[in-house]
Amino acid sequence: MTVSVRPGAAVDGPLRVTTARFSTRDPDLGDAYLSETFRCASERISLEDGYRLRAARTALGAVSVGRLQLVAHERRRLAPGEAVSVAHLLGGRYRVAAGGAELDVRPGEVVLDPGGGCQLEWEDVELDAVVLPTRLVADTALESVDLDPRRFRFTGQRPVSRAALEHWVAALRYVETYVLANPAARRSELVLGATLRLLASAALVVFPSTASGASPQLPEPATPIVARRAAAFIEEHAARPITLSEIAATARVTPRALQYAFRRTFDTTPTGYHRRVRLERAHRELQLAAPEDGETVTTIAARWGFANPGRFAALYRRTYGTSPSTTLRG
Amino acid sequence: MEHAHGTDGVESRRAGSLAPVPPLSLGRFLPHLVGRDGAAGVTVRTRLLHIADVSVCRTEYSWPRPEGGSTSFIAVGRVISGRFMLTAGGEGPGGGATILFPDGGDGTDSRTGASVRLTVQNELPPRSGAERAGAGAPGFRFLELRPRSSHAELHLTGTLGYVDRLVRAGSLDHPLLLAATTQLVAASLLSSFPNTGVVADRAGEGGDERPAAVRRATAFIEEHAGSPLTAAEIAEAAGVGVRALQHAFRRHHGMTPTAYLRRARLERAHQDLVRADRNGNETVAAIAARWGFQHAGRFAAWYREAYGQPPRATFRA
Repeated sequence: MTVSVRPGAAVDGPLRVTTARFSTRDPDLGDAYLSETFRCASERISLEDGYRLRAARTALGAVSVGRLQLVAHERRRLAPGEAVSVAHLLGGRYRVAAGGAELDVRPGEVVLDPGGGCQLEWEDVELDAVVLPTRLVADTALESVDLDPRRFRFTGQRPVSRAALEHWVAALRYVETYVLANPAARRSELVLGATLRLLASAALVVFPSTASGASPQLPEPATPIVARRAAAFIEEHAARPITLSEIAATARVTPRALQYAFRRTFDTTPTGYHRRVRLERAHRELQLAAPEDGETVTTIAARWGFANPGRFAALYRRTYGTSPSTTLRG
Repeated sequence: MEHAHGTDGVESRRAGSLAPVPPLSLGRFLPHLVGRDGAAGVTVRTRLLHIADVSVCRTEYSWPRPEGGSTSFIAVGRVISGRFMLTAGGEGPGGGATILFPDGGDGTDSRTGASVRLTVQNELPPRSGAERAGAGAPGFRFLELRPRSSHAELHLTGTLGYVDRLVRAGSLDHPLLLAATTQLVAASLLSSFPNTGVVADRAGEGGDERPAAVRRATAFIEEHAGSPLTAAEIAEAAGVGVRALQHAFRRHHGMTPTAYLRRARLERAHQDLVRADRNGNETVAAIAARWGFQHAGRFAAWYREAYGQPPRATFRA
């Protein structure tokens, strides 16, 4: 049931991609899995209520891209490790304390664990985490900045700007959809190698580090405020039917102006954007679903507003290149 | 020539065609406009970011069938809507290949004819892994205008969409992101389009989904495009029957072997027309005949369908 990822595995050498899912109600098994995923010793401080962990992890060489869904309220301590991790929180409560600072992370936000150890409190979280070996990130930084590799470290946990946050989310979305889910890209060492570098570069640009000083910042504002507000609303209410005028009201513009802003920003309509978000969430649940849950493609599709299984399967295949049932079976 | 600033800060101008982009100096990174005055009412809005070995270009035409074509770049286009054809570039060393994307669209603005998302210079960036894959070798070229599989096309389309977003957000100003994106684009192109460097990643795992017979047939056609070929000869070279080959071709290329041959010949004739010495002895008819088009009127019709203009226009341009 667990996956073999060698902690600190060499960055060089043939790149392979493996995906495996994990599901447990046993907190001890969950601990082992989390330690392995985040490449550091991890110890529980407290646990309230029940416990349920569902996860899917794709290992790409020494990098892993994982999705987690935790139904529990726990506090834990993470020891220093040799990897950094970036979490994109999709839901739940997530609070992290490191180096005397405490952060409350809200859904939609991303947070970096620089690998120096921290204390974590989380409750019913859903998140996507990317774990990168510190060495890979430092090597990537050194390609553009003259720096003693031993002195490289991240200096903050939050993205340096709104544009930086958006950059991370877009990079992750690209990697998940068009590389990790794509059968052709998964076979290409060239593409996989480029993807490692893409993720490391994104982390370097998004979070402050000792290498940041010499590089320019990402330009602001990345997304016009109207499109940003509307997109946030759609992401938050993705599971239910929403109308164009409802989204427009949230963004405080007319439906026409909203459509124009979306076309310009996202190359699609608000409805198209909503469909894409629903498809991504369905994709995520198909990856996470455990056999014992008895979930089917139809129930997952319906939960995200796709009432017609045939049409859902066609859209899914057009996007991910495989059928939803293949993803569900893992 | 009048410049107009688009509302999104992208400069636009009226233009009738795209001119080849002069390579800019290394390490420079600047928005660069291409295009020249042409047919009234036709707008080409282009933003081209050019650095070292790679340029990223977003072009929107309000004209359904723009002239395409550049000779020293590998261009990859994604048609958003309408019909658009990119022309094959020179195939010798130092030349570029251009990639055809007849229909990868997700159906967006109907007023937008086409969007050329990217051009990448033929010399692939160092450290992209491209040399390892043989892309730096003399005579490197792309063998096909279509991605090797539907999965490869999906990956490539997604990659172009992502890079387009980076361009629009201005993110490629950052040297780290530019370097990473350059490597990604090179890797995507090399793994998606059949070429002399990377035959198929992890050979044997089905990188090229086409049956061996179709691959043999297209290689045979590309090699012998200048000679008279019959469907039976192509089938024989591929080692299958004529009917079987036609069926397989329809499945994987959307056309018959004969139509594929015609397209290959049209591409070569187009190249000769582009390069022809107008003051020499060459004529449209002679070039057409060289590539097996004996009937001038039919050649002109096919040519116009493929390139949106009569052969004479290319010849005189």
